[in-house]
Amino acid sequence: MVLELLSGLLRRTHLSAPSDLAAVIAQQAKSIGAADVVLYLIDYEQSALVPAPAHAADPGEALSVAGTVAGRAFSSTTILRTQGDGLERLWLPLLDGTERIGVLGMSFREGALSERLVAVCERYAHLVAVLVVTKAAYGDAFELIRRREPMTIASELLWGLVPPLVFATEGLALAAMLEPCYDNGGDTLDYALNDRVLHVGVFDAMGHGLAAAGVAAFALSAYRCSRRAGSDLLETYAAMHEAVGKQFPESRFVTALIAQLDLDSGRLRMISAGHPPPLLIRGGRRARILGVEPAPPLGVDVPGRGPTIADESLEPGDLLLLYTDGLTDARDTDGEPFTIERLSQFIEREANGGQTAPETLRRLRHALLGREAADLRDDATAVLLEWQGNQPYDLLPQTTVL
Amino acid sequence: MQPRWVGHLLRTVSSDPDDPEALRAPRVVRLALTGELDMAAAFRIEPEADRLLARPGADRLVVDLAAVTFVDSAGLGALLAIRDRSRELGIEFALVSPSAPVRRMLELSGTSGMLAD
Repeated sequence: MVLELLSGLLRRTHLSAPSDLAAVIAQQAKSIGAADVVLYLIDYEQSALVPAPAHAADPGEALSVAGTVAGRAFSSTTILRTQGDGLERLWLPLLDGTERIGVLGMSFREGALSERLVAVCERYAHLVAVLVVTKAAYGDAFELIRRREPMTIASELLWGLVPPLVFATEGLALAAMLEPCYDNGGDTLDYALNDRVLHVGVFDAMGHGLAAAGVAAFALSAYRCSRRAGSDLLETYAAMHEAVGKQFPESRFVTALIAQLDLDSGRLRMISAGHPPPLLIRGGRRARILGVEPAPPLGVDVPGRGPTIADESLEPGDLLLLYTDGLTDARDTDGEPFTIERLSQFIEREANGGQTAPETLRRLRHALLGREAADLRDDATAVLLEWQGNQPYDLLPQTTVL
Repeated sequence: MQPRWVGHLLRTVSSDPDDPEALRAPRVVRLALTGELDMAAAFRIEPEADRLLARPGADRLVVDLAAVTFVDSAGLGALLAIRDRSRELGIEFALVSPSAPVRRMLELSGTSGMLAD
């Protein structure tokens, strides 16, 4: 049954456009007795699950992440089950690797849902998630579903460059946030896992708007170029510094924190180009600001010390937060500044409450930006890393019955 | 909420050609800033600095940060722009007397090398 279902979906979607996918997914699922199959994608604000219309005439209704079963399936990465009207409905989180892209709702006749059928649906949802990501590159359908406001050119530029905002592998979970999501001004981030070394960087270009976004995009590309050429941290700093300085001689500059984390040993090495140092949250103790001697920002020609590498040893379970100063300059919905102390307390509390890294950042985003009262003075970017040593990271869906 | 850019700028210019003292003084123009040096302030100090740099005979621009309480990256950008413009005109640039928090902010941003002292 599984093979037929999955290979059938692959065959049917081989030549389909992104906008056809929702209908094909619904149709194929009929073969296992599923009805009312709806593909929901998470919006950019991470607050609503928006249906991908299977028929143009029937757009369906968005579901809030807060306070709905679909939302709970999404935020807890858990398969949930509801009953009513002689039907049972499954809510399956859609995960591309570990990135949460939405949920799939499927209904079955009461009594039909055996454990085995739930497992089949889980595989189906997995394939659906991978197809959504693959097909998304060929059309705007999914991108537009995820947007609830128009996006600026600056945001188009930056979103086009950043890697997926969630990633997990053996011993590591990573989640990132890039705000304001429809109107970024000059923050960006990048990461790459090569062998067992995680390369990660956050970048903050001076100023706002499209000009700043252009400089940030340029710095990010210079970073990638050096990394892919096999350069070490010092060489990467030097190359980015020179590239930004040459390309933008008119006092444009970028602050950056670039780091390498060895996933086997936990050794963390970092260079700051005039950028705030990361926060380390260890075992429920008070968060510590790591000591990183700042070198001049990229593109700034000032006399002084060259870059130095800061060296830290992470312990299993450590959380590391890389961020831009827009995060600590932000005001919460009560108008209070979101200081480093509050930021660390927030992360500690969520971590102690057992939240995953992506869910912690989703909640942080909402703590910072209630939909009505957003007061972000600057772009706010964060990358939250959880290093587990040799523990496997648990971000895969767990079947539970609601 | 109080806007962050309540800071404004002052200028003390000591190269007035009508002032006999100025004839003996080095041709120094001085820009003394007060308050918070953020994006809003940055927009205003750059033209002000341009005006000072355009004074005939100026050979040194001193930017005094004693009364500045805050500098963000836009403010830093403005200082760098003023420094670069001075250099283009062959005018010496000096950033002096930072308040303690401003010195700290420049250190944290890796740019304390801009300071004259």
